[in-house]
Amino acid sequence: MRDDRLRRGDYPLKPVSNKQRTWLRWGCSASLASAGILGVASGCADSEDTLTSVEDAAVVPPASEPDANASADGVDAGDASDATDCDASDQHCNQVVVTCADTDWCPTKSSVDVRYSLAAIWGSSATDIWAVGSAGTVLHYDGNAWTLDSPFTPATLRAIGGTSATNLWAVTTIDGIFHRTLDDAGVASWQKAPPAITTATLSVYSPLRGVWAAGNDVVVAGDLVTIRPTGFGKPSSYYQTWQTTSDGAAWVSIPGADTLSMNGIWGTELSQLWIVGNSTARGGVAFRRNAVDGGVYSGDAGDAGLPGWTETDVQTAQRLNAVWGSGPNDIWVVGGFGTIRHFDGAGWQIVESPTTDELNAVWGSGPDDVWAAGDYGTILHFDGATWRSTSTAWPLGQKPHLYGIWGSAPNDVWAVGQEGTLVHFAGKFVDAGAAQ
Amino acid sequence: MLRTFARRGVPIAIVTCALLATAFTGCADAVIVAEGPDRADAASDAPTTSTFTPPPASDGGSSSAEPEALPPMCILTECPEPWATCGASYKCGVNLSNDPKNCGACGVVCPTSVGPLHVGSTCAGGSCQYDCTPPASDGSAVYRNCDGFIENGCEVNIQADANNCGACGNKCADGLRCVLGQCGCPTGTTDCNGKCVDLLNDPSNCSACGNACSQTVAPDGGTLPAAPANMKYTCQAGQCGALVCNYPYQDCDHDRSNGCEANTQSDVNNCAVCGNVCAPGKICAPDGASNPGISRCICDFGTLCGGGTTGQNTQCADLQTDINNCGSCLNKCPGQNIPNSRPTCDQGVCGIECVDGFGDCDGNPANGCETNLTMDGSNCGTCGNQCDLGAGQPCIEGKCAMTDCDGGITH
Repeated sequence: MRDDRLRRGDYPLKPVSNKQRTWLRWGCSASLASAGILGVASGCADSEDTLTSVEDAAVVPPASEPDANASADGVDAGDASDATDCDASDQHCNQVVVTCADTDWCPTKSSVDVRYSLAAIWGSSATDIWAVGSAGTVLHYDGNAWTLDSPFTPATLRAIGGTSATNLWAVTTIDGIFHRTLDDAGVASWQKAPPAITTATLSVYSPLRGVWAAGNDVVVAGDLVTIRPTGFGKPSSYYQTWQTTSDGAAWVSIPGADTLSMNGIWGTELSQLWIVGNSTARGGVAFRRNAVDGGVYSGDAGDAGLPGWTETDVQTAQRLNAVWGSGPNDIWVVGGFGTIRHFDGAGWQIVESPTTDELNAVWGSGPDDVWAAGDYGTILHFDGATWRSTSTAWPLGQKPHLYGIWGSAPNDVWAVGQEGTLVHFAGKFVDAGAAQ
Repeated sequence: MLRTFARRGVPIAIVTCALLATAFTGCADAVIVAEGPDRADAASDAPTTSTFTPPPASDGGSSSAEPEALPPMCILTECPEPWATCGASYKCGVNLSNDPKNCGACGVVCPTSVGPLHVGSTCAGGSCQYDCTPPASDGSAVYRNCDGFIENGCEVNIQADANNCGACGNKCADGLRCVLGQCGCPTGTTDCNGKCVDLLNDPSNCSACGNACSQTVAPDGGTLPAAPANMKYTCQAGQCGALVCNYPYQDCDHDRSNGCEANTQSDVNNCAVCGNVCAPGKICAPDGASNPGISRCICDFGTLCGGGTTGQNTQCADLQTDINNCGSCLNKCPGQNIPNSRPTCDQGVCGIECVDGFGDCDGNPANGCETNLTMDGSNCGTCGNQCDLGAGQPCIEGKCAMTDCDGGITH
């Protein structure tokens, strides 16, 4: 479960001085001695305000003297909490100054206010990448630099997806769906789309957490929507065929099931969609869109003759946060407590995970190159055989939660998260088997 | 702790590290069982819940100071006061000094409050303390035990008892009621049929009990003209027929022909009072749970949540931190009913954290943060941190308990 959160970014990073680092290492050595003597009872080592743990002692490089001025390698000194927020024995903490030369992932200065999180990231290519988040933050990368758009909503934009820079969707609530497109003058701008439900009042505030688009189709997903004053139980996803003229564009509900909070959508086309989330009754859920075969629906037909969803057994009680696949027979989902599941075309398998931290996002370039990002700076990589932790040149202090991950290629991957965090992988693994 | 020492000064860190090396080499691999209840000396109390104590800096902390010798530390296996093991609790998981179900000894229960008697009891210092229940929040009731018998509890409400008005034994003069702890109605008010009213300004008791002001008939018997918009006739200075605005409307333009035209609850040019103009972008609305509350100029545009047809109170919400409006209005963060968990809203994104002292060690979302890290000997302080269970070492306040080793003899 999550520890106390970071304080808001009022505290500048104070690089630990050379003297202080020396004494930290003394402390680590002493704890090594004590833990060895006490054997199994590592009570001395792991108590909160006593000694550093053996694991941390191993991480401290005994000989090298890292740079005191960490910002030289692109690590932004301003983007971290006070190092005292974090306990030396806590794996969620970074107590050692490391540079990008020594890690797989490298932080990038994003110019996003440290008071805001980036909640999602998606791109159409290496030179057109979009990240969105708290307080309507919209950040764009053109291959050269990251620049901020003017916010058009005070709400948290929770998901972003599309087909291009001029067919781009960002969502926060039923009545908070925004579409970037070309206006009549051929200028690209963000416009507010009609709400996914128009008949109700309270339901327009219902949050959306997933968006997906392909061709002229858009699907958004979120919580169960309660309609007042009458009726309950509208399903959690809505679909629209986007026409070039606004006439005729309307959201249609895709029937789901019971009390669901849906978080992620992935698929190659509208007839091959997966949607994942959480059921308060049974935990993690994964639905596959019923296939359409020459006009004949298999499975339930939904509203307006649209195919509905079929639930699959994803074998977890933990909520599922994200889904991605390289094809219909190679699909990954991730979720709470480090949960990872894989679908091979026949069914879901339980996959061993190297972490119990919550995993929030998953993306890959192919069956042998898949990434997952999650709480406390967790970034995992799958190489076709196993999932391993990867390393990041975090600033000192508690590592930020990561909420989104996307790449254009195996050597160009971005992850985003709390406090405007933006980190990049350029294709080089520092140590084939190492974890931080 | 080391980190703190590092900040306070290098010398203390040196001393501490050297101390640690000395301390733990003393305690090879045997378990020292602390002696039983007879631990009266003060020195034995200090180390029970910490693994070491820093030596006092004997010479202002010069780097050449010799480390002072401290007694070696060994694990503790008996319960330090005031902890005890009662029934099926964690070892030493019950605090006899303040546990109302085990007050002073296992199984001694302090009776909970018995409503009609207005008496409650708490466990403090290892014994049950009785007291009258707290006063009602509106001041309408304060209970006292005036007759000295605890058997009938705190039987008197001194706010309303004419024989014990404001204090035990204070009897009001004949004919006077006891009103909120005072005999008779407060100065300036009159007792009209059991209610204290201001005869000068009460439209139902205008200058006399029961004299209600009319909206159509003047005090002299003539006809009152229809009141202008948002106005009504009321009692002023003991006279009916006075025109006043209906709250929250005010006559800010001083034009009687449109009556009281400004709604001070929502008018950005007359917010709460005439002439109070809100800064551009701000909204005039009541702020807070009370509805209707007093309006203020609040909110940057767009973060006013609730109101209207939502069925929720209007409220200026900080979308970055409000667990009931997290990231967007009315988005309630889940986790409000998960055991030992609480929802968080951080930078406009929902999360869940364990309440202090608890952790999710089994990864089962159904039981939330099921592990009590302050007293679970297998997960002491953090998941997986095991005390020496074989020797009976308890987990006290999140640390595996330690104590001095037996006088001078180390094993």
